Amino acid sequence: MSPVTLDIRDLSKAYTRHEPVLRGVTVALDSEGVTAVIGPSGAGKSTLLRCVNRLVEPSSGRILFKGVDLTGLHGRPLREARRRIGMVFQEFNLVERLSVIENLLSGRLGYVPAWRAWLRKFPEPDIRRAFDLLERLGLGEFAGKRADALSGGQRQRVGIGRALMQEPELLLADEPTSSLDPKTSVEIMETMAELARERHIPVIVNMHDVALAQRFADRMIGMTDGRIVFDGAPDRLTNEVLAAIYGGEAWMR
Amino acid sequence: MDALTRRALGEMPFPSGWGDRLRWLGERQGGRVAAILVVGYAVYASLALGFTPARFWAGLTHGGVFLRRLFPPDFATRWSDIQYDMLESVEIAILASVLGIAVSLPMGLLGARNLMPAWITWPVRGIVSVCRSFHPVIVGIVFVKAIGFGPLAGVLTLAVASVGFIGKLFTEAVEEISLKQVEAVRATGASFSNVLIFGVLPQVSARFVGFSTYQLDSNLRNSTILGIVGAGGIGGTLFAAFQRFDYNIVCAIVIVIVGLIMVGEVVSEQIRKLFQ
Repeated sequence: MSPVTLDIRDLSKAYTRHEPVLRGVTVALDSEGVTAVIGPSGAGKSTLLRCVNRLVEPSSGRILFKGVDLTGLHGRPLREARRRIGMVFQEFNLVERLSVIENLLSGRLGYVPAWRAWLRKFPEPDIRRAFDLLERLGLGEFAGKRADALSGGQRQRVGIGRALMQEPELLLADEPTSSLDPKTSVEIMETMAELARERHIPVIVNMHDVALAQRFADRMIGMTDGRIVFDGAPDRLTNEVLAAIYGGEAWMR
Repeated sequence: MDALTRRALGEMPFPSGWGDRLRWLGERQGGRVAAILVVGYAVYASLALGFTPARFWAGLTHGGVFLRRLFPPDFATRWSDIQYDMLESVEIAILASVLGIAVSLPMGLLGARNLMPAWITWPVRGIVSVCRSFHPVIVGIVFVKAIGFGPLAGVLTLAVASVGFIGKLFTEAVEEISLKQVEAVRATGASFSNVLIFGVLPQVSARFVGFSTYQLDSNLRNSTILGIVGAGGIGGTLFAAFQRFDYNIVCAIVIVIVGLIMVGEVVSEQIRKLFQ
Protein backbone atom coordinates (compact mmCIF):
# COMPACT_ATOMS: atom_id res chain seq x y z
CA MET A 1 0.00 0.00 0.00
CA SER A 2 1.40 3.35 -0.99
CA PRO A 3 1.24 6.03 1.68
CA VAL A 4 -1.71 8.37 1.43
CA THR A 5 -0.83 12.07 1.18
CA LEU A 6 -4.27 13.56 1.12
CA ASP A 7 -7.39 11.97 2.50
CA ILE A 8 -10.57 13.97 1.96
CA ARG A 9 -13.62 12.64 3.77
CA ASP A 10 -17.21 13.65 3.21
CA LEU A 11 -16.24 17.24 2.40
CA SER A 12 -19.10 19.71 1.92
CA LYS A 13 -19.14 23.41 1.23
CA ALA A 14 -22.04 25.80 0.86
CA TYR A 15 -21.29 29.50 0.18
CA THR A 16 -24.95 30.30 0.76
CA ARG A 17 -27.26 28.15 2.82
CA HIS A 18 -29.17 25.38 0.99
CA GLU A 19 -26.97 25.80 -2.11
CA PRO A 20 -24.06 23.44 -1.53
CA VAL A 21 -21.20 23.54 -4.03
CA LEU A 22 -19.61 20.40 -2.63
CA ARG A 23 -21.87 17.59 -1.44
CA GLY A 24 -19.90 15.03 0.48
CA VAL A 25 -16.71 14.53 -1.52
CA THR A 26 -14.55 11.62 -0.42
CA VAL A 27 -11.25 10.93 -2.15
CA ALA A 28 -7.77 9.77 -1.20
CA LEU A 29 -4.56 10.75 -2.95
CA ASP A 30 -1.35 8.73 -3.18
CA SER A 31 2.03 10.17 -2.57
CA GLU A 32 2.81 10.67 -6.25
CA GLY A 33 1.22 11.16 -9.65
CA VAL A 34 -1.00 13.63 -11.44
CA THR A 35 -4.67 13.55 -10.63
CA ALA A 36 -6.86 15.55 -13.00
CA VAL A 37 -10.27 16.77 -11.89
CA ILE A 38 -12.68 17.46 -14.73
CA GLY A 39 -16.28 18.55 -14.79
CA PRO A 40 -18.52 21.39 -15.95
CA SER A 41 -18.16 24.92 -14.63
CA GLY A 42 -19.76 25.20 -11.24
CA ALA A 43 -19.26 21.53 -10.40
CA GLY A 44 -17.11 22.52 -7.42
CA LYS A 45 -13.62 21.69 -8.74
CA SER A 46 -12.15 25.01 -7.76
CA THR A 47 -13.86 24.99 -4.38
CA LEU A 48 -12.52 21.50 -3.71
CA LEU A 49 -8.96 22.65 -4.38
CA ARG A 50 -9.33 25.81 -2.32
CA CYS A 51 -10.74 23.86 0.60
CA VAL A 52 -7.52 21.85 0.73
CA ASN A 53 -5.30 24.85 1.46
CA ARG A 54 -8.18 26.55 3.21
CA LEU A 55 -8.43 29.58 0.95
CA VAL A 56 -12.06 28.52 1.21
CA GLU A 57 -13.49 27.42 4.53
CA PRO A 58 -15.18 23.99 4.23
CA SER A 59 -18.62 23.67 5.78
CA SER A 60 -18.17 20.11 6.99
CA GLY A 61 -16.01 17.06 6.48
CA ARG A 62 -12.35 16.32 7.10
CA ILE A 63 -9.19 16.88 5.09
CA LEU A 64 -6.29 14.79 6.34
CA PHE A 65 -2.95 15.93 4.95
CA LYS A 66 -0.25 13.44 5.97
CA GLY A 67 -2.40 12.45 8.89
CA VAL A 68 -3.17 15.98 10.15
CA ASP A 69 -6.71 17.31 9.88
CA LEU A 70 -6.47 20.67 8.07
CA THR A 71 -10.06 21.67 8.72
CA GLY A 72 -9.47 22.41 12.39
CA LEU A 73 -6.36 24.58 11.93
CA HIS A 74 -6.12 28.30 12.59
CA GLY A 75 -3.39 30.90 12.77
CA ARG A 76 0.19 29.66 12.73
CA PRO A 77 -0.53 25.90 12.34
CA LEU A 78 -2.72 26.72 9.33
CA ARG A 79 0.02 28.85 7.75
CA GLU A 80 2.56 26.10 8.42
CA ALA A 81 0.28 23.61 6.67
CA ARG A 82 -0.26 26.02 3.76
CA ARG A 83 3.42 26.45 3.09
CA ARG A 84 3.70 22.68 2.53
CA ILE A 85 1.05 22.94 -0.22
CA GLY A 86 1.91 24.77 -3.44
CA MET A 87 -0.77 26.29 -5.64
CA VAL A 88 -0.83 27.30 -9.30
CA PHE A 89 -3.64 29.57 -10.49
CA GLN A 90 -5.65 29.99 -13.67
CA GLU A 91 -4.76 33.64 -14.08
CA PHE A 92 -1.26 33.10 -12.68
CA ASN A 93 -1.91 35.57 -9.82
CA LEU A 94 1.63 36.87 -9.85
CA VAL A 95 2.28 40.09 -8.00
CA GLU A 96 2.47 42.10 -11.20
CA ARG A 97 4.54 45.01 -10.00
CA LEU A 98 7.23 42.82 -8.49
CA SER A 99 10.11 41.33 -10.44
CA VAL A 100 10.11 37.73 -11.58
CA ILE A 101 12.69 36.71 -9.00
CA GLU A 102 10.72 38.43 -6.23
CA ASN A 103 7.65 36.48 -7.31
CA LEU A 104 9.62 33.28 -7.11
CA LEU A 105 10.99 34.18 -3.70
CA SER A 106 7.50 34.95 -2.47
CA GLY A 107 7.15 31.17 -2.31
CA ARG A 108 9.41 31.39 0.76
CA LEU A 109 7.25 33.95 2.57
CA GLY A 110 5.97 31.30 4.94
CA TYR A 111 9.51 30.89 6.25
CA VAL A 112 10.90 34.41 6.51
CA PRO A 113 10.08 37.04 9.14
CA ALA A 114 8.52 40.33 8.09
CA TRP A 115 11.70 42.41 8.31
CA ARG A 116 13.50 40.08 5.91
CA ALA A 117 10.54 40.20 3.53
CA TRP A 118 10.48 43.99 3.74
CA LEU A 119 14.22 44.32 3.04
CA ARG A 120 14.12 41.46 0.51
CA LYS A 121 16.86 39.78 2.54
CA PHE A 122 16.00 36.19 1.76
CA PRO A 123 18.39 33.48 2.99
CA GLU A 124 21.22 32.74 0.58
CA PRO A 125 20.13 29.13 -0.21
CA ASP A 126 16.62 30.37 -1.12
CA ILE A 127 18.03 32.91 -3.54
CA ARG A 128 20.31 30.34 -5.12
CA ARG A 129 17.44 27.90 -5.50
CA ALA A 130 15.24 30.61 -7.00
CA PHE A 131 17.80 31.38 -9.70
CA ASP A 132 18.40 27.68 -10.40
CA LEU A 133 14.69 27.07 -10.72
CA LEU A 134 14.28 30.09 -12.97
CA GLU A 135 17.02 28.71 -15.20
CA ARG A 136 15.29 25.35 -15.23
CA LEU A 137 12.01 27.02 -16.25
CA GLY A 138 13.83 28.67 -19.15
CA LEU A 139 13.38 32.14 -17.72
CA GLY A 140 16.94 32.83 -16.60
CA GLU A 141 17.18 36.12 -18.45
CA PHE A 142 13.92 37.45 -17.01
CA ALA A 143 14.89 37.53 -13.32
CA GLY A 144 14.85 41.31 -13.05
CA LYS A 145 11.87 41.89 -15.34
CA ARG A 146 8.55 42.91 -13.87
CA ALA A 147 6.04 40.07 -13.85
CA ASP A 148 3.53 42.01 -15.94
CA ALA A 149 6.06 42.27 -18.78
CA LEU A 150 5.89 38.50 -19.38
CA SER A 151 3.71 36.50 -21.77
CA GLY A 152 1.01 34.17 -20.45
CA GLY A 153 3.11 31.03 -20.72
CA GLN A 154 6.09 32.70 -19.08
CA ARG A 155 3.89 33.97 -16.27
CA GLN A 156 2.53 30.53 -15.59
CA ARG A 157 6.08 29.20 -15.45
CA VAL A 158 6.79 31.79 -12.78
CA GLY A 159 3.59 30.67 -11.04
CA ILE A 160 4.85 27.08 -11.04
CA GLY A 161 8.24 28.29 -9.84
CA ARG A 162 6.67 30.18 -6.95
CA ALA A 163 4.74 27.08 -5.88
CA LEU A 164 7.84 24.88 -6.11
CA MET A 165 9.93 27.36 -4.12
CA GLN A 166 7.76 26.34 -1.18
CA GLU A 167 9.26 22.85 -1.49
CA PRO A 168 5.70 21.61 -1.27
CA GLU A 169 4.58 18.10 -0.43
CA LEU A 170 1.48 18.59 -2.58
CA LEU A 171 0.81 20.72 -5.63
CA LEU A 172 -2.63 22.12 -6.42
CA ALA A 173 -3.28 23.59 -9.86
CA ASP A 174 -6.56 25.38 -10.53
CA GLU A 175 -7.10 25.34 -14.29
CA PRO A 176 -3.46 26.24 -14.93
CA THR A 177 -3.84 26.19 -18.70
CA SER A 178 -7.26 27.79 -19.20
CA SER A 179 -5.75 31.19 -20.00
CA LEU A 180 -3.17 29.79 -22.42
CA ASP A 181 -3.06 28.75 -26.06
CA PRO A 182 -3.05 24.99 -26.85
CA LYS A 183 0.68 24.70 -27.52
CA THR A 184 1.64 26.62 -24.39
CA SER A 185 -0.89 24.59 -22.42
CA VAL A 186 0.89 21.37 -23.33
CA GLU A 187 4.27 22.85 -22.44
CA ILE A 188 3.01 24.06 -19.08
CA MET A 189 1.50 20.66 -18.27
CA GLU A 190 4.74 18.96 -19.31
CA THR A 191 6.81 21.26 -17.11
CA MET A 192 4.52 20.87 -14.15
CA ALA A 193 4.25 17.08 -14.40
CA GLU A 194 7.97 16.70 -14.90
CA LEU A 195 9.02 18.92 -12.00
CA ALA A 196 6.48 17.27 -9.71
CA ARG A 197 7.73 13.82 -10.69
CA GLU A 198 11.32 14.77 -9.96
CA ARG A 199 10.31 15.99 -6.53
CA HIS A 200 8.05 13.00 -5.87
CA ILE A 201 5.02 15.11 -5.03
CA PRO A 202 1.43 14.47 -6.03
CA VAL A 203 -0.42 17.00 -8.19
CA ILE A 204 -4.14 17.72 -8.29
CA VAL A 205 -5.06 19.70 -11.36
CA ASN A 206 -8.46 21.07 -12.36
CA MET A 207 -8.96 21.14 -16.09
CA HIS A 208 -11.49 21.87 -18.76
CA ASP A 209 -9.51 20.31 -21.58
CA VAL A 210 -10.34 16.61 -21.26
CA ALA A 211 -7.87 15.43 -23.91
CA LEU A 212 -5.02 17.37 -22.31
CA ALA A 213 -5.98 15.97 -18.92
CA GLN A 214 -5.99 12.41 -20.26
CA ARG A 215 -2.57 12.94 -21.78
CA PHE A 216 -0.88 13.92 -18.53
CA ALA A 217 -2.97 12.43 -15.74
CA ASP A 218 -2.36 9.12 -14.02
CA ARG A 219 -5.83 9.31 -12.56
CA MET A 220 -8.98 11.18 -13.51
CA ILE A 221 -11.77 12.37 -11.27
CA GLY A 222 -15.04 13.55 -12.79
CA MET A 223 -17.22 15.92 -10.82
CA THR A 224 -20.80 16.96 -11.40
CA ASP A 225 -22.89 19.13 -9.18
CA GLY A 226 -20.61 18.89 -6.15
CA ARG A 227 -20.17 15.12 -6.27
CA ILE A 228 -17.56 12.74 -7.63
CA VAL A 229 -19.16 10.72 -10.42
CA PHE A 230 -16.05 9.13 -11.89
CA ASP A 231 -12.73 8.09 -10.43
CA GLY A 232 -10.33 5.97 -12.40
CA ALA A 233 -7.58 5.64 -14.98
CA PRO A 234 -7.66 8.07 -17.94
CA ASP A 235 -8.29 5.29 -20.47
CA ARG A 236 -11.47 4.28 -18.64
CA LEU A 237 -12.95 7.66 -19.45
CA THR A 238 -15.42 6.61 -22.16
CA ASN A 239 -17.94 8.75 -23.98
CA GLU A 240 -20.65 7.38 -21.72
CA VAL A 241 -18.73 8.53 -18.68
CA LEU A 242 -18.12 11.97 -20.23
CA ALA A 243 -21.80 12.25 -21.02
CA ALA A 244 -22.58 11.50 -17.40
CA ILE A 245 -20.09 14.11 -16.18
CA TYR A 246 -21.00 16.96 -18.51
CA GLY A 247 -24.57 15.98 -19.31
CA GLY A 248 -25.75 15.13 -22.83
CA GLU A 249 -23.65 14.02 -25.75
CA ALA A 250 -24.35 16.60 -28.44
CA TRP A 251 -21.24 18.65 -27.49
CA MET A 252 -18.91 15.73 -28.22
CA ARG A 253 -19.62 15.58 -31.93
CA MET B 1 -45.27 62.92 -30.21
CA ASP B 2 -42.52 64.93 -28.48
CA ALA B 3 -39.41 66.29 -30.14
CA LEU B 4 -37.05 63.69 -28.70
CA THR B 5 -39.07 60.83 -30.15
CA ARG B 6 -39.37 62.54 -33.51
CA ARG B 7 -35.61 63.04 -33.56
CA ALA B 8 -35.04 59.43 -32.68
CA LEU B 9 -37.32 58.42 -35.55
CA GLY B 10 -35.32 60.60 -37.91
CA GLU B 11 -38.11 63.09 -38.55
CA MET B 12 -36.10 65.91 -37.00
CA PRO B 13 -32.32 66.46 -37.13
CA PHE B 14 -30.30 66.21 -33.92
CA PRO B 15 -28.99 69.63 -32.75
CA SER B 16 -25.49 70.66 -33.67
CA GLY B 17 -24.66 74.30 -32.63
CA TRP B 18 -24.75 75.66 -29.08
CA GLY B 19 -28.01 77.55 -29.63
CA ASP B 20 -29.59 74.37 -30.96
CA ARG B 21 -28.31 72.38 -28.03
CA LEU B 22 -29.78 74.82 -25.49
CA ARG B 23 -33.10 74.74 -27.29
CA TRP B 24 -32.89 70.96 -27.37
CA LEU B 25 -32.28 70.91 -23.62
CA GLY B 26 -35.30 73.17 -23.22
CA GLU B 27 -37.45 70.76 -25.14
CA ARG B 28 -37.08 68.26 -22.37
CA GLN B 29 -39.18 69.18 -19.37
CA GLY B 30 -36.69 68.13 -16.66
CA GLY B 31 -33.89 70.16 -18.17
CA ARG B 32 -36.05 73.24 -18.56
CA VAL B 33 -37.24 73.16 -14.94
CA ALA B 34 -33.71 72.67 -13.63
CA ALA B 35 -32.35 75.52 -15.77
CA ILE B 36 -35.08 77.90 -14.55
CA LEU B 37 -34.41 76.94 -10.93
CA VAL B 38 -30.65 77.48 -11.19
CA VAL B 39 -30.92 80.84 -12.94
CA GLY B 40 -33.65 81.97 -10.54
CA TYR B 41 -31.58 81.08 -7.51
CA ALA B 42 -28.51 82.86 -8.91
CA VAL B 43 -30.56 86.06 -9.36
CA TYR B 44 -31.96 85.75 -5.83
CA ALA B 45 -28.51 85.17 -4.34
CA SER B 46 -26.94 88.15 -6.09
CA LEU B 47 -29.74 90.42 -4.84
CA ALA B 48 -29.40 89.06 -1.31
CA LEU B 49 -25.63 89.73 -1.33
CA GLY B 50 -25.92 93.16 -2.92
CA PHE B 51 -23.97 91.84 -5.92
CA THR B 52 -25.10 94.50 -8.37
CA PRO B 53 -23.32 95.78 -11.49
CA ALA B 54 -22.76 99.15 -9.74
CA ARG B 55 -21.12 97.47 -6.74
CA PHE B 56 -19.02 95.32 -9.03
CA TRP B 57 -17.80 98.38 -10.93
CA ALA B 58 -16.94 100.20 -7.70
CA GLY B 59 -15.00 97.12 -6.58
CA LEU B 60 -13.02 96.99 -9.82
CA THR B 61 -12.01 100.66 -9.48
CA HIS B 62 -10.88 100.06 -5.92
CA GLY B 63 -8.98 96.98 -7.04
CA GLY B 64 -7.14 99.06 -9.61
CA VAL B 65 -5.94 101.45 -6.94
CA PHE B 66 -4.85 98.50 -4.78
CA LEU B 67 -2.93 96.93 -7.66
CA ARG B 68 -1.08 100.20 -8.29
CA ARG B 69 -0.08 100.39 -4.64
CA LEU B 70 1.36 96.86 -4.71
CA PHE B 71 4.18 97.91 -7.02
CA PRO B 72 7.08 98.11 -6.85
CA PRO B 73 7.56 95.14 -4.49
CA ASP B 74 9.68 95.99 -1.48
CA PHE B 75 11.98 93.08 -0.68
CA ALA B 76 14.52 95.07 1.28
CA THR B 77 12.72 96.51 4.32
CA ARG B 78 11.68 93.22 5.89
CA TRP B 79 14.01 90.82 4.08
CA SER B 80 15.34 89.08 7.18
CA ASP B 81 11.77 88.52 8.47
CA ILE B 82 10.62 87.23 5.11
CA GLN B 83 13.60 84.92 4.84
CA TYR B 84 13.20 83.51 8.34
CA ASP B 85 9.43 83.01 8.05
CA MET B 86 9.72 81.47 4.63
CA LEU B 87 12.18 78.88 5.93
CA GLU B 88 9.82 78.28 8.83
CA SER B 89 6.96 77.65 6.41
CA VAL B 90 9.06 75.13 4.51
CA GLU B 91 10.06 73.42 7.76
CA ILE B 92 6.44 73.25 8.88
CA ALA B 93 5.36 71.78 5.55
CA ILE B 94 8.07 69.12 5.42
CA LEU B 95 7.76 68.11 9.06
CA ALA B 96 3.97 67.91 8.79
CA SER B 97 4.26 65.84 5.60
CA VAL B 98 6.68 63.36 7.18
CA LEU B 99 4.46 63.05 10.24
CA GLY B 100 1.27 62.80 8.19
CA ILE B 101 2.70 60.23 5.76
CA ALA B 102 4.02 58.11 8.62
CA VAL B 103 0.60 58.07 10.29
CA SER B 104 -1.48 57.63 7.14
CA LEU B 105 0.35 54.53 5.91
CA PRO B 106 -0.92 52.34 8.79
CA MET B 107 -4.21 54.25 8.99
CA GLY B 108 -4.82 53.70 5.28
CA LEU B 109 -4.21 49.97 5.61
CA LEU B 110 -6.32 49.69 8.76
CA GLY B 111 -9.21 51.46 7.07
CA ALA B 112 -9.38 49.10 4.08
CA ARG B 113 -12.51 46.99 4.29
CA ASN B 114 -11.08 44.24 2.10
CA LEU B 115 -8.27 43.55 4.58
CA MET B 116 -9.62 44.41 8.00
CA PRO B 117 -12.69 43.48 10.02
CA ALA B 118 -15.41 46.10 10.47
CA TRP B 119 -14.60 46.79 14.09
CA ILE B 120 -11.20 48.15 13.00
CA THR B 121 -12.17 49.91 9.78
CA TRP B 122 -15.07 51.87 11.26
CA PRO B 123 -13.17 53.75 13.97
CA VAL B 124 -10.15 54.28 11.70
CA ARG B 125 -12.31 55.64 8.89
CA GLY B 126 -14.06 57.83 11.45
CA ILE B 127 -10.77 59.37 12.60
CA VAL B 128 -9.59 59.95 9.05
CA SER B 129 -12.85 61.55 8.06
CA VAL B 130 -12.76 63.89 11.09
CA CYS B 131 -9.22 64.88 10.02
CA ARG B 132 -10.63 65.78 6.62
CA SER B 133 -13.79 67.53 7.80
CA PHE B 134 -12.29 70.85 8.84
CA HIS B 135 -10.37 73.41 6.88
CA PRO B 136 -6.74 73.69 8.03
CA VAL B 137 -7.39 77.24 9.24
CA ILE B 138 -10.02 76.01 11.68
CA VAL B 139 -7.81 73.14 12.87
CA GLY B 140 -4.99 75.70 13.16
CA ILE B 141 -7.05 77.94 15.44
CA VAL B 142 -7.87 74.94 17.63
CA PHE B 143 -4.20 73.92 17.92
CA VAL B 144 -3.06 77.50 18.61
CA LYS B 145 -5.61 77.70 21.42
CA ALA B 146 -4.64 74.23 22.71
CA ILE B 147 -0.84 74.32 22.64
CA GLY B 148 0.01 77.97 22.05
CA PHE B 149 1.29 80.17 19.23
CA GLY B 150 4.11 79.04 16.99
CA PRO B 151 5.18 76.54 14.37
CA LEU B 152 4.35 73.46 16.46
CA ALA B 153 0.65 74.27 16.06
CA GLY B 154 1.24 74.63 12.32
CA VAL B 155 3.00 71.28 12.05
CA LEU B 156 0.21 69.47 13.87
CA THR B 157 -2.46 71.23 11.82
CA LEU B 158 -0.98 70.17 8.51
CA ALA B 159 -0.21 66.69 9.80
CA VAL B 160 -3.90 66.30 10.57
CA ALA B 161 -4.82 67.56 7.11
CA SER B 162 -2.32 65.11 5.57
CA VAL B 163 -3.78 62.14 7.43
CA GLY B 164 -7.24 63.17 6.28
CA PHE B 165 -6.20 63.35 2.65
CA ILE B 166 -3.62 60.57 2.21
CA GLY B 167 -5.44 58.28 4.64
CA LYS B 168 -8.66 58.39 2.65
CA LEU B 169 -7.10 58.08 -0.81
CA PHE B 170 -4.73 55.34 0.32
CA THR B 171 -7.60 53.36 1.84
CA GLU B 172 -9.47 53.63 -1.44
CA ALA B 173 -6.39 52.51 -3.37
CA VAL B 174 -5.99 49.48 -1.11
CA GLU B 175 -9.65 48.60 -1.56
CA GLU B 176 -9.14 48.53 -5.33
CA ILE B 177 -6.24 46.07 -5.40
CA SER B 178 -6.41 42.69 -7.12
CA LEU B 179 -7.26 40.11 -4.45
CA LYS B 180 -6.02 37.34 -6.72
CA GLN B 181 -2.45 38.42 -6.14
CA VAL B 182 -3.13 38.58 -2.41
CA GLU B 183 -4.72 35.13 -2.46
CA ALA B 184 -1.65 33.67 -4.14
CA VAL B 185 0.68 35.13 -1.52
CA ARG B 186 -1.63 33.90 1.22
CA ALA B 187 -1.54 30.41 -0.30
CA THR B 188 2.23 30.23 0.25
CA GLY B 189 1.61 30.23 4.00
CA ALA B 190 2.82 33.81 4.42
CA SER B 191 2.00 35.59 7.66
CA PHE B 192 -0.40 38.52 7.53
CA SER B 193 2.44 41.04 7.61
CA ASN B 194 4.22 39.23 4.79
CA VAL B 195 1.00 39.20 2.78
CA LEU B 196 0.87 42.98 3.25
CA ILE B 197 4.51 43.43 2.26
CA PHE B 198 4.45 41.20 -0.83
CA GLY B 199 0.82 41.06 -1.88
CA VAL B 200 -0.66 44.44 -1.01
CA LEU B 201 2.02 47.15 -0.83
CA PRO B 202 3.56 46.48 -4.28
CA GLN B 203 0.13 47.09 -5.78
CA VAL B 204 -0.36 50.45 -4.09
CA SER B 205 3.09 51.86 -3.37
CA ALA B 206 3.32 53.98 -6.53
CA ARG B 207 -0.02 55.57 -5.80
CA PHE B 208 0.93 56.14 -2.16
CA VAL B 209 4.03 58.04 -3.27
CA GLY B 210 1.83 60.03 -5.65
CA PHE B 211 -0.61 61.00 -2.90
CA SER B 212 2.24 61.85 -0.54
CA THR B 213 4.05 64.17 -2.92
CA TYR B 214 0.78 65.85 -3.82
CA GLN B 215 0.15 66.39 -0.12
CA LEU B 216 3.68 67.78 0.33
CA ASP B 217 2.80 70.26 -2.37
CA SER B 218 -0.46 71.12 -0.71
CA ASN B 219 1.18 71.43 2.73
CA LEU B 220 3.69 73.87 1.29
CA ARG B 221 0.83 76.03 0.03
CA ASN B 222 -1.14 75.78 3.25
CA SER B 223 1.89 76.46 5.44
CA THR B 224 2.01 79.97 4.00
CA ILE B 225 -1.42 80.84 5.37
CA LEU B 226 -1.25 79.30 8.85
CA GLY B 227 0.62 82.33 10.16
CA ILE B 228 -2.61 84.32 9.90
CA VAL B 229 -3.98 82.38 12.86
CA GLY B 230 -0.64 82.42 14.66
CA ALA B 231 0.49 78.92 13.78
CA GLY B 232 3.89 79.95 12.38
CA GLY B 233 5.30 80.61 8.94
CA ILE B 234 5.21 83.45 6.45
CA GLY B 235 1.46 84.05 6.84
CA GLY B 236 1.95 86.07 10.02
CA THR B 237 4.28 88.57 8.34
CA LEU B 238 1.99 88.76 5.33
CA PHE B 239 -1.01 89.49 7.52
CA ALA B 240 0.90 92.13 9.49
CA ALA B 241 1.99 93.85 6.27
CA PHE B 242 -1.65 93.93 5.13
CA GLN B 243 -2.77 95.50 8.36
CA ARG B 244 -0.10 98.17 8.17
CA PHE B 245 -1.05 98.86 4.52
CA ASP B 246 2.54 98.01 3.50
CA TYR B 247 1.35 96.79 0.15
CA ASN B 248 4.81 96.84 -1.38
CA ILE B 249 5.95 94.37 1.24
CA VAL B 250 2.80 92.30 0.65
CA CYS B 251 3.73 92.17 -3.00
CA ALA B 252 7.26 91.01 -2.20
CA ILE B 253 5.96 88.25 0.07
CA VAL B 254 3.43 87.08 -2.51
CA ILE B 255 6.16 86.86 -5.16
CA VAL B 256 8.36 84.83 -2.83
CA ILE B 257 5.43 82.49 -2.05
CA VAL B 258 4.73 81.96 -5.75
CA GLY B 259 8.40 81.13 -6.26
CA LEU B 260 8.35 78.69 -3.38
CA ILE B 261 5.26 76.90 -4.66
CA MET B 262 6.79 76.54 -8.09
CA VAL B 263 9.99 75.12 -6.67
CA GLY B 264 7.91 72.79 -4.49
CA GLU B 265 6.03 71.51 -7.50
CA VAL B 266 9.23 70.75 -9.39
CA VAL B 267 10.71 68.98 -6.36
CA SER B 268 7.64 66.82 -5.74
CA GLU B 269 7.54 65.93 -9.42
CA GLN B 270 11.14 64.75 -9.16
CA ILE B 271 10.33 62.68 -6.09
CA ARG B 272 7.42 61.05 -7.93
CA LYS B 273 9.72 60.15 -10.83
CA LEU B 274 12.31 58.76 -8.44
CA PHE B 275 9.83 56.26 -7.01
CA GLN B 276 8.36 55.07 -10.29
